[in-house]
Amino acid sequence: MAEIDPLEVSEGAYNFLARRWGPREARHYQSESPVEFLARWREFNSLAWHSLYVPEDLGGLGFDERHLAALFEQVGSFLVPGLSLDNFLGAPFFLARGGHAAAEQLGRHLAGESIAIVAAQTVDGSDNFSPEPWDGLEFDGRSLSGERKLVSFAHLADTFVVTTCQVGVPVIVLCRVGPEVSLNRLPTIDVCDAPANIILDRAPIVDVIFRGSEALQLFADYMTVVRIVTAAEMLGLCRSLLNMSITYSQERVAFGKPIAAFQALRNLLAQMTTDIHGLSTIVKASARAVATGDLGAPAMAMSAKVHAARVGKRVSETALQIHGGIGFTDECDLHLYFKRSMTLQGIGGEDRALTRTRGRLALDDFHGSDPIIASAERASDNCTPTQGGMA
Amino acid sequence: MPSRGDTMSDGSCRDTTDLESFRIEFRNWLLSQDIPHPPVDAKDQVLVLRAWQRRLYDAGYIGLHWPEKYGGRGKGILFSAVAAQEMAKVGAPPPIGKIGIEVVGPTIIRYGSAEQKMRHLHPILTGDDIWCLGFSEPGAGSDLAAITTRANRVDKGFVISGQKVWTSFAADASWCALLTRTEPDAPRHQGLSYFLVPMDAPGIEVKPIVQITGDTEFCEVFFDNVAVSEDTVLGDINMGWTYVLSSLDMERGPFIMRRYAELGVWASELFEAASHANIVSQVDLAEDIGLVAILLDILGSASYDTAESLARGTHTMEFGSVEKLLFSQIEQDLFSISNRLLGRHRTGVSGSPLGLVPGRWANGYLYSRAASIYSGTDQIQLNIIADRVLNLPRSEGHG
Repeated sequence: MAEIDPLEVSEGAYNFLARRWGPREARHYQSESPVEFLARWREFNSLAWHSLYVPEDLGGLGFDERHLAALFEQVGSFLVPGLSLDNFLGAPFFLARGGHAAAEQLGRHLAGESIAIVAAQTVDGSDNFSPEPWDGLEFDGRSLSGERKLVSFAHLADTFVVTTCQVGVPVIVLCRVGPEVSLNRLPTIDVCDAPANIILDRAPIVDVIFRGSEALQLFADYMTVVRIVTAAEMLGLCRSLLNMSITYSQERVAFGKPIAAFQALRNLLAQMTTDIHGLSTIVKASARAVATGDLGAPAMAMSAKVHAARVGKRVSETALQIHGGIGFTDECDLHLYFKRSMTLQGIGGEDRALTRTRGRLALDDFHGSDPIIASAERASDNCTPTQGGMA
Repeated sequence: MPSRGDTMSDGSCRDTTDLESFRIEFRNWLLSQDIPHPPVDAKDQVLVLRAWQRRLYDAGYIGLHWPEKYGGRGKGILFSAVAAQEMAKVGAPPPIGKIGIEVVGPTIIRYGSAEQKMRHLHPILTGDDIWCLGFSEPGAGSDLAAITTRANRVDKGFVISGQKVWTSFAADASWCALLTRTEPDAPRHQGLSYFLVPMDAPGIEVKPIVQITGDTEFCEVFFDNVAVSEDTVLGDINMGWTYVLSSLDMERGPFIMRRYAELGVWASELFEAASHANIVSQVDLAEDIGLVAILLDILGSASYDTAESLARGTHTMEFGSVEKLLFSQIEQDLFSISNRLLGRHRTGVSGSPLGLVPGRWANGYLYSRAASIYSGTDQIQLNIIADRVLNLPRSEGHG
């Protein structure tokens, strides 16, 4: 593990992004051409952001979840799209742990030559180990058929990392984008997202990179990190909303004084500050828990994600309230953050379902069982065989 | 001043520099002990908890972050945080002398004379002296600088008259850290002095206040021409406001850690009860248990964050308001959920669906309503955050 303070990652990202990115750039993202995207990709790569989480022996920086959280806090602050663990960094997560074909794809991914994206989105965000990651596709051992929904930035992918089942056994495979793969791009109000449904028609796979309990465990670990990173991104977004609200309320004059002088608004801003502090502590604690191998890390990550969804909703709604009428227009950039918050609330599981799972884990912990194993066993029970599967 | 060496005669205390090693050491020690359960009778409670503190002291687990030269372990605040967590896990009560250990003792260490340190610090650690804080008054709660209790200078000392209220543990205390007004004509925050007053001094009357929980933790304390000597003044005359702010700031971190530990005990009890229910089929129950678990996770991460900032020396009094507000809101949310789980039994008539003891949980819910009131109301904290953390402008006429 590298001996770099996560604060240095945070400061470096802030210094770079403060000069280059913000709401004006965010408005352009959805119409970005592949050439523009690759130029931006290469720029982030020059900062080693895509290899930050990749082990050193595979050419990455070997940083841990604390550094990742620090980076994503800035990603959230500046509305930077496309870097989330759910898509771009998710591929290195799996590829770095796979075999030769995966490692080769990883190298090409980091070089920007062949972008790999994870296609394992849960659609309705139900429980942690919902059948959705493994269901919905037919896998005959050589090719995939079916549909994967709501994959962010799928239109930029050259390769997909796909979760599916083979004769009742969960597997994670690599699938190159070719004529057998088509996309339905979905409109979204979030300028930082570009979702699509992927339709696979006997799309040949490159390799099965994980199978069975290894696939289950790895996906569980992936979801833990997704939740922490999403919570960190939400934290940065909330900090920006608070700063915007403070600035606005100090500039906007009503009844002869800045509206920040009114008790009602002072209270709202102070409450936002308190909510954000609580979120920051649990983001840090959950990242630390994963980085130090704490067995309670998956539960902690769930708590972080649930809390992030709630705080994100509350802070974005309050910020809009503080901005009044102008906040309700496109003239004000606030709605870009507000809508990004909406997307982040849904990534990694919806909060009610996650809360129920967290409750069950709390009782598993109480009885002393390993929550990771218990959850993996539940997931295995949920994985159903697909039609036409062959060993 | 007696000092405790690294090894006691029974080997129950070792010099542990590593935090996690200390956690294991303390946990093992706790597991080897017969943990006391405080009796219902208040007088018996004091005896039992005093004996418990003495046991902790003899084993080297009191005053962990106090300097060694004053009888502590010099271990840093994070060790105290870990100790509080471990005690909560086994349901061990906190030391009865917590006000002395967490507030008054550190204040004396910082501002007291050599004689005051010699006289007071050791009995604070052993539990022989229990302290209360004489700060708030009927007309000075949130606005502490409005106190009117007077200390008039006389030959070789002072005479104190006035009334304090919300004085926790005054009925059991042997000493009182008392804020008085020594210069009535000085501006509000000036002219205040901090006294160390023996509670057996003639003229002091303590009247317990019955709370909505039925407990009498708080008291009114009346000072009727109480004569005290010069050496009961802490530090300098008329510097009391500085010392009080310092006291309140010192209290905040250890309080947060201890309260997290205490709420952890409550949550464990809830989880135990829920584990006997068929939670998988009861979706609402699973969600409520999940909410409690999440709230506890946030409390734990926030208290650790506070301990880290204290250890680094970056903690500020102003940001303590953010922490206090966060804690009070989480505590109240936690007991609101448990209150819901009690259902029709929430007023403690008979057994609850989960097997929780309704009276105890109703009491917990009622007590949680005080969390947004004591140590500065939530509204005061919001004001402080707006003023001193966010530096927002004030309305005209704002005090």
